[in-house]
Amino acid sequence: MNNSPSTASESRVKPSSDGGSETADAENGPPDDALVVRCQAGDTGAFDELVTRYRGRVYAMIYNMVKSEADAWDLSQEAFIKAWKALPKFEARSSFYTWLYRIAHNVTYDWMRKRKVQAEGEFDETIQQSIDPKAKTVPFKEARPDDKIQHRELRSSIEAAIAKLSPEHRAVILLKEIDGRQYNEIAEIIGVSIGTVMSRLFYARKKLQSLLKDVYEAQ
Amino acid sequence: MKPSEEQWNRWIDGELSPEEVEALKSASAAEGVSLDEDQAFFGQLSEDLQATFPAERTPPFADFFNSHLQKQMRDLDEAEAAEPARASWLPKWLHLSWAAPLAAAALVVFTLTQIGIIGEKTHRGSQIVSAYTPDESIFAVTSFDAEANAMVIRLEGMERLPAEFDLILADADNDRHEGPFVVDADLDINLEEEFVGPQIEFVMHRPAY
Repeated sequence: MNNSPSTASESRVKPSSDGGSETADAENGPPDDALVVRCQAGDTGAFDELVTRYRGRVYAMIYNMVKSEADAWDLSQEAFIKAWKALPKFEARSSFYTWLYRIAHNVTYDWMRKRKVQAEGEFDETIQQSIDPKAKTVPFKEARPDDKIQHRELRSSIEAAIAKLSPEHRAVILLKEIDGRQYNEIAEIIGVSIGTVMSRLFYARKKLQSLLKDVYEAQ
Repeated sequence: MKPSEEQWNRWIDGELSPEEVEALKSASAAEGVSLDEDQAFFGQLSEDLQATFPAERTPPFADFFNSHLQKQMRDLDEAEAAEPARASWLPKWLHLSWAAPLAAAALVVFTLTQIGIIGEKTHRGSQIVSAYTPDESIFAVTSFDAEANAMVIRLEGMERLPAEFDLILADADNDRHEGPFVVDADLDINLEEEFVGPQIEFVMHRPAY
């Protein structure tokens, strides 16, 4: 049983500037499966450790989807509560993290669906905000003023392009590109076939290409 | 040869074997298609996406995040302890885990049919032709709310549902949800559930025509 996040996922996690990534706890502390067993025996302290270990990644995943700190915070809470309630039935067919991610994805997807976000990608503009430029997890590199402006414009264009994707396509591209998930893991998390993942990924990439080609060519 | 979606994705992600790459390049070159440009574009985009969207982000008030969760978990445990007769409105055999989904599925089944235009000319009508509730103490009241342009189905006679009881809805157009409340209809209906004391009210919004 492998209850640790995949290597592919770990490799994409960027360390935060405030003392390192929380996922580093996964390497130093007890393995996930040991904590899960303790949780299943009712140990809330063990669950607290899992929360601390994964809250940053769950919150980031949800935030990247909904683009609202307050909503992402609430949805993350809901995802962890659902996980706690469902843990007695967790059979470790997948890693704990993949399982948790699936819960978080479903919570987020249902919320977005309830917000009547259109499948065609017509997102409510009120949920489209820029990522905080002071976000601790964004790699920092001193750049010349021209570069800074160009970089900011590029990021803004990328955010706008991602926001134009439907929730389904957005989820797949973020799971692939940001979380570094394998195709089969994406299929498991969002509950579709690998063929559907391939199709959505293809469409999402082609759409991003059409939306951003001019931006890149202008650089 | 135009690559399949899977081949193309695996090419972009650098997951094709050298032999597969060679075959794909040869076939593409024969048709005058260059895939190198796509790979360069998406390689750069991948880097920029990772710089734009963090994979990890500490939630605001991280300590409170944990303590608030712990409080909710305690509240859940207390609520469960205080309700030994949880789901007492279901017969005892329904508490068996294998029987619960089946029983829930049988709780109520609505059949809707589209009967053409009624009322205002902008409204296409629907009618509940049957509502089956196995428990005779529970009955369904259906009505059409013209103002909301919605069909309302109210189940009466139920005890208040426990907070932890997950109510799942199913409709024909959504393969993600399977659950106790089945709607058989041609209409593209969005279901929303509201809890009103001992009743459950379903508001079935019809699409704008």
